[in-house]
Amino acid sequence: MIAFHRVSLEYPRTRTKALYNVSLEIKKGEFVYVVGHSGAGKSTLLSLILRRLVPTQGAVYFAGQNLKNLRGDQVAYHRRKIGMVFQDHRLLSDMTVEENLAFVLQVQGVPRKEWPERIALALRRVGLTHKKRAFPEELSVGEAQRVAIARALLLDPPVILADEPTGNLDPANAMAVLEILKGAHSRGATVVVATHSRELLEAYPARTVVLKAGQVVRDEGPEGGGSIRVKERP
Amino acid sequence: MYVVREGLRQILRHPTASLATFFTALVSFALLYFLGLLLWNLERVVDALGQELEVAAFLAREADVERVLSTIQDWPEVASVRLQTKEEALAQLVLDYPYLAEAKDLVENPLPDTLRLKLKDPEAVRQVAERLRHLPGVEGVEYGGELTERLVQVLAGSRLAMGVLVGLLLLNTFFSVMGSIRLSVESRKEALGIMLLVGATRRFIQGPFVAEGILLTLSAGVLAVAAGVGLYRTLARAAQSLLPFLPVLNAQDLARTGLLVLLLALLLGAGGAYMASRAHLREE
Ligand SMILES: Nc1ncnc2c1ncn2[C@@H]1O[C@H](COP(=O)(O)OP(=O)(O)OP(=O)(O)O)[C@@H](O)[C@H]1O
Ligand SMILES: [Mg+2]
Repeated sequence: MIAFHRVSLEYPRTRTKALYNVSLEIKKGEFVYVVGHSGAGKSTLLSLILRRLVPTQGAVYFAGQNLKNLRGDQVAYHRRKIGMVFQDHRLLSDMTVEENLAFVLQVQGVPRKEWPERIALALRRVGLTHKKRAFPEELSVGEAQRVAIARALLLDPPVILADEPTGNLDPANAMAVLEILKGAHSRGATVVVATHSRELLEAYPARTVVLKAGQVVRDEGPEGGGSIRVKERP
Repeated sequence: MYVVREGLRQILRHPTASLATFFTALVSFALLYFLGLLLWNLERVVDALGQELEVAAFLAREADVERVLSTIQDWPEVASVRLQTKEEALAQLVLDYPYLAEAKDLVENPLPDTLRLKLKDPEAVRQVAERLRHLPGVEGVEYGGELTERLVQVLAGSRLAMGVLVGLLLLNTFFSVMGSIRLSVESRKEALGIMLLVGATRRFIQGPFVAEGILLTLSAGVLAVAAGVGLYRTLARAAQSLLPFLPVLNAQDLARTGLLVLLLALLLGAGGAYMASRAHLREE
């Protein structure tokens, strides 16, 4: 589904080498954690999948397509296959919860008559039906994060990317978020979660890719056993 | 329709800038249209005068009439040449002044053979006259139409002045549209960023901005054309009651130029908006 082939990425302005020679394959329907210290390159990796970034070297493939070759609106159509949960939830402050969700449906050209049902379902999944008329600033951090997830799941995209979805949450809220992601996974979505949180890994063990200073240093199978050590580069 | 509704909403979101753009566009288009009509009308007047304009070349007695005639006929500025022999000239003269009838038999005909030229373009009159003067066999050149000549100069001057003025105004309009759209883009930055990330097509993103630009310039264009037609009609009526022979533009002329102005308004609005919103498509 997603394949990194010797991917390096350097941010041109600061000349920061955020990723170095990363090769990685994520199969359809997998649940994968990407962990690592702050600045290890987790968000960068997700941005490459979303094609906000294009590798400096190597290639990222999505369903067999080299993302570098997407042109114009092809990028938009690619992004529609991905539900992205951002580190800073990225809800629009001048719209209610409901409107924030409707906004995505409008952007993606979903017929208006389907909106109420889709929005209701998405809010039910994250347990926030009663907050649909609230504005983002009237929500707790955990609630806002769940709305962001509801937005990502809105159209049941085949791939979900979640960047630090439990970043600022207490354990109970973190578990609630994890449950929602597990739900999406159980419905067949490929899920990639970037996180620092040990608790998540323990609560729902899954394949874990460890990044260190932009390199993959470990790639462990679901049960912790069968751990694959990837050779480190100097 | 989403695009138009959103465009309108953006206009109302920063009314001051929108009004500034609207009035800039209004002034530019009104001047363009009205001055354009006046100049075109003036051109018609000059054309009409030019039709009457005639250059006369008086030939020397020993001149080779045939040769001079064929030389002149080859000049590109010349529409037609007619030879008026001295006999014809005298007959004409006698016709005009009957008391000369007796005198004409007493002396030898003093009038020269004359070539009468009509020009395709009255602007060339001075140049053609000068060339004629140097032609062997031509003794003198005369042309009426000082007024025409003066008008032609005025016309050329005004055309240039108007071109510069209106060009600058249109440029001003263009940048004003871009400024307005920049504001809209700025105020929607957050939403645009999310739109890009959740897969908005370029048309979806730029549509409302282009609609905003078109709404501003096209509404100004429509008003400008309406005002221009009103003003021109009033003036034309007044002018014609004073000088009935004065050619004026008809309704079809007005409509055609009006459409041209509206087309320009459309292009400026859409173009400015497109340019202003394009830069922001390349990721936040
Ligand atoms: N837009 C950018 N321009 C320049 N450098 C950047 C940019 N974004 C990230 N970086 C740098 O790239 C490296 C990797 O950043 P990245 O955001 O991928 O880390 P991360 O693993 O997501 O960290 P965190 O856990 O803090 O979110 C860091 O050194 C960071 O400073
Ligand atoms: Mg990050």
